[in-house]
Amino acid sequence: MSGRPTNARLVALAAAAFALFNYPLLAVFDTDALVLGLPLVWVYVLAVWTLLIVLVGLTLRDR
Amino acid sequence: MTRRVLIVDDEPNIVTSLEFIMRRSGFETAVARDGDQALEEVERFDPDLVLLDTMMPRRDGYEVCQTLRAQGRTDLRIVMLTAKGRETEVAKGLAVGADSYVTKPFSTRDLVALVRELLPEEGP
Amino acid sequence: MVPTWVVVVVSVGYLGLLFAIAYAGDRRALAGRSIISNGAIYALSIAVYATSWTYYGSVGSAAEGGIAWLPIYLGPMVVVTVWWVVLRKIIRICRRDRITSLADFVASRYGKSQLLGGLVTVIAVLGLVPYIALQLKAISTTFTILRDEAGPAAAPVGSVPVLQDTGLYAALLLAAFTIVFGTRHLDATERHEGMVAAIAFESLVKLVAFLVVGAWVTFGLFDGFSDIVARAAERPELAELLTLRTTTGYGTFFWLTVLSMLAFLLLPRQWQVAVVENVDEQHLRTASWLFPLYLLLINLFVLPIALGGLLIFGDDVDADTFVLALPMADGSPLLALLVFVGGLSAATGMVIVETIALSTMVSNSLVMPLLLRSRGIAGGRDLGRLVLLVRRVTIVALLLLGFAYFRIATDALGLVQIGLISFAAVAQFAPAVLGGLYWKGATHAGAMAGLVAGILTWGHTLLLPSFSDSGWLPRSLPVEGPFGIELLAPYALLGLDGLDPVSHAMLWSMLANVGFMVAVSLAGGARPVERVQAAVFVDAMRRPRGPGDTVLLRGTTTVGALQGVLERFVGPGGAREALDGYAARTAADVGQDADADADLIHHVESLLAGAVGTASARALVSTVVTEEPLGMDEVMEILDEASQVRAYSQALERKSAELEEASAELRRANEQLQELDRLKDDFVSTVTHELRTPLTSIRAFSEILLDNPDLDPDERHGFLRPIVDETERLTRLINQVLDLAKLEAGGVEWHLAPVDLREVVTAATTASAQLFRERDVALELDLPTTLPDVTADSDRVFQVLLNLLGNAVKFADPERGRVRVGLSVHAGEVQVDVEDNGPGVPEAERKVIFDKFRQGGDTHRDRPAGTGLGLPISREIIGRLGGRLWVGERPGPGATFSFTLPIARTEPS
Repeated sequence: MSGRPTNARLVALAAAAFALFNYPLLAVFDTDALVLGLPLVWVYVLAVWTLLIVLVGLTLRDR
Repeated sequence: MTRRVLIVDDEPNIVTSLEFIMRRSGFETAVARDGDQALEEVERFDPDLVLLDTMMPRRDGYEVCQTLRAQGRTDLRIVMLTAKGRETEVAKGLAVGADSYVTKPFSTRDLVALVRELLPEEGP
Repeated sequence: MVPTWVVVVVSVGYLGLLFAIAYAGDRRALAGRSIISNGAIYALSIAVYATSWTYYGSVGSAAEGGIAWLPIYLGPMVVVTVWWVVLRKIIRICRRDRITSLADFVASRYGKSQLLGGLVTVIAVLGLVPYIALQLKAISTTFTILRDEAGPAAAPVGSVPVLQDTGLYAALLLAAFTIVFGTRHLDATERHEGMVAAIAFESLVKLVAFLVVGAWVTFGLFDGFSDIVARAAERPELAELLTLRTTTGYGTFFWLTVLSMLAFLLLPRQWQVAVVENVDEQHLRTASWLFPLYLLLINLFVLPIALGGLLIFGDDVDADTFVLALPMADGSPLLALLVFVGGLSAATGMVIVETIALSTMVSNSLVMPLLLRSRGIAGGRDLGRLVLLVRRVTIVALLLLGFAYFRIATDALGLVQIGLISFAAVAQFAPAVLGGLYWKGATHAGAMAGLVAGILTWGHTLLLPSFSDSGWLPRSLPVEGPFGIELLAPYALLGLDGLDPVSHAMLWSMLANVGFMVAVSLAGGARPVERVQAAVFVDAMRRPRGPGDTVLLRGTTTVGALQGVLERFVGPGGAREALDGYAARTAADVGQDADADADLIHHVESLLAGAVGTASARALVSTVVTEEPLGMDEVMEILDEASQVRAYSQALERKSAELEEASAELRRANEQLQELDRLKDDFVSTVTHELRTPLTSIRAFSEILLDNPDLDPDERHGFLRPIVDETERLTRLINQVLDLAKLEAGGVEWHLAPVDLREVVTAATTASAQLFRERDVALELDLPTTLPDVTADSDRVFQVLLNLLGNAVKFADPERGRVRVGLSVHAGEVQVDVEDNGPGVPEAERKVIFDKFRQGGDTHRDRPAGTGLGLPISREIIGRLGGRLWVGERPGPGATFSFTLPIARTEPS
């Protein structure tokens, strides 16, 4: 992978990350509900976080 | 003593005509058809003058002339006959030791005059 | 609970281990076998981001506001996704220009400005001393808790006498470590491999320790995540922590994310490990996923520990110490010791890297420029040692300052608050750095104005209130404003309230910073050197080192003078080595008295830049270089070039390639012309010869006949015959020369039609019958019964056959001459072979017999018959008819001339 497309993908990913970690999307998951006994918002943030790590890793995997 | 002229040319008709002219003018003649023959004839016939064509098979005229001069035949007169009228050919001929040159086609009278001039009468 | 001596031994032992690792790392680096040259180590070293604020403070923060602590780690996650874009660009710029600190980066971008570099340094020191203090505070506090018999609840931070304060000894020990591994020698790249190895190790230790204690709390003290959450949910004051809206609010969450994004990129220690210590930009590929994974893991147990601590201790224990207090309260001293070591790792890692980074900034961007102003020092020798001394003093001073701040001011503030104040200070660099990286219009004045406005706002809205929190200033000041002016109230500037202090400060300071920077940049012009640097920075990814980089250094000096400057920093040996290395690369003359070219001046400047910063390097070099003034026009020209340098050089390359090709073509054409000329000359000369030779005979015989009227008839006939023959020969020659000229010029009219070659062969042999009889040569025809027609001009084929038959007869064996003519069909062609039993064509002559006037053999007898043009003409004709003519390559007696002609396509009509 090289140059422009990778860069564009990463910038888009960053924008998505910033949006997913903030209001209003964050508020959607900020409820009293528990998932597997855990607060929904906590699970949501950890899930997005994990997804981002995977996507960045895939985008930048060696060549 | 009759002067000897060796005629060297690969054109049969030219040889025939030269032979006739030289005999008519009182010279003894011999003929060679190429460079190698020419050198042999000079040994055998011991001419006073050689009419030497430049363009021949085996050895060309320049080479023959050069060889003869290298053999120390300085008293031998050499007239080069050339069909290529360029200055360089003439200069080349003189450079290798020819006494004179004649451009083909030539005037038979002029040629005889030239030969006589190069071979002055020495007594009877 | 844990004996003091044990804690001391463990602490000192741990630092000793760090020493060993750093030492080994340096040794390996010297031996050329770097242990830090991989993406994983790189990612771990960047995890120096997680300090004791993370290690202890996150839990404290979570205990107050639930997941409100998370933005500090989500911000980096967002930044890491664009690392490949942004950080890679920064790394390239820094590597190319040997920029070794954030201050130097900003100074270099805005025209190698010493003033701007100094300002950045002052802000960084101002902003980061509290942060260093925070680490010392954590070490001191945890040390006290660990050994205190009275238990964690009563830990009286800062109440011990100064000389008994662990923080002081920690500070001094760390100073020693940092000096040894951070300032051992002066190196243009400012890399510290041993230090990086130690930091990576520390990151591993703190992660493992935190994961262990987190798992112990979650699964040991409680029954898993859901158990803790379920229990917390039963208590209303804890249930609040499970959502965001009830505690922190989305606005704060947003601002903290922004703040941590900027800080993560711009903190001097992050800059140090991520940019300066980067060995290979490809390591970013691994680090870009590994580092956020590290952050995710170290945050996994924060909420469980916070909730667990609250469930067990309630409000009795400072939440910042839960991580340590929980194992202590449970009577697990070993676990507590592990937690302490993890915390020690977090704190020491931060302090070491931060002070190295700051000491580079202070020495290169603040002290050296000032020292170099006084001519006495600038002229002195061995400035390299002076630089190192400055750095060492700076390190000690920073740690003592941190300690002092911790003793005096941190009592009232939580770990997170102190950290955020530092973050907000560092964030002020963002407009200058990021703007400078992507906006060519950003000017020195703009960056300066933005920085000043931003930091003043920061001081007013964050720093000042922190003093009033500590009791130095009236407690009411943040809300009521200085001198009772409410519009200036630090927590509600211009009456804007409703925001938490950090968000409020970020909003105003960023507004002021960006606003001033953009406005001032747009209002004023930039100096030439600024414009060049702007182009160099913004286009960093698009241009390799181009001509624009060096041109501004136009000036004259000698190599010797430059060497003198260099010697003062790297020693005589180093200077000579550097120059020789340059000479080896560029083949430039580096003799003492040689003129230094612009490239060499630039090279020396960049070498110095590594040691003293770009601005000082420029100042140093200009002491020996007589710079020629550079006009605005020239600068604009350079800028044009700089911004388009790639396209330009590509175009140039293309042009020069085209030019080269054109000239090669010209050369080829010229050679061809000369060759043609020579050939023409030869041709004319040869034709002349061929014409003169028969003319000579004709003239000689004519004159003989003229001069000798008395010749008998036989003799007369013998002399007339050659005249006729030679005239015929002349005529034939003239015809053939004209024929060939016409053929070659393409002026021949071809009458193409289907031709039965058998007929043509028969006709040609009939025409040559007389010749065959004369020479007594036998003819053998080998004609097939059926034969396809060929497309050809039958007259021309006839001409070719006559020529070949003539040659065959001429060269056939004189005694038992024999010639064979054969016809055969091959793929799409009819082949004609004319074979004789003569001597054959010697290999050497096979090629040349088709040249003009090259006659085969040396037979005298037939000389008049050949003109030397028959075969060239024949080959030309056959070629024009779409066939080939060649001589067989069979050696030995007998020659075979063959030609082919294409079979006619059967037309329907």
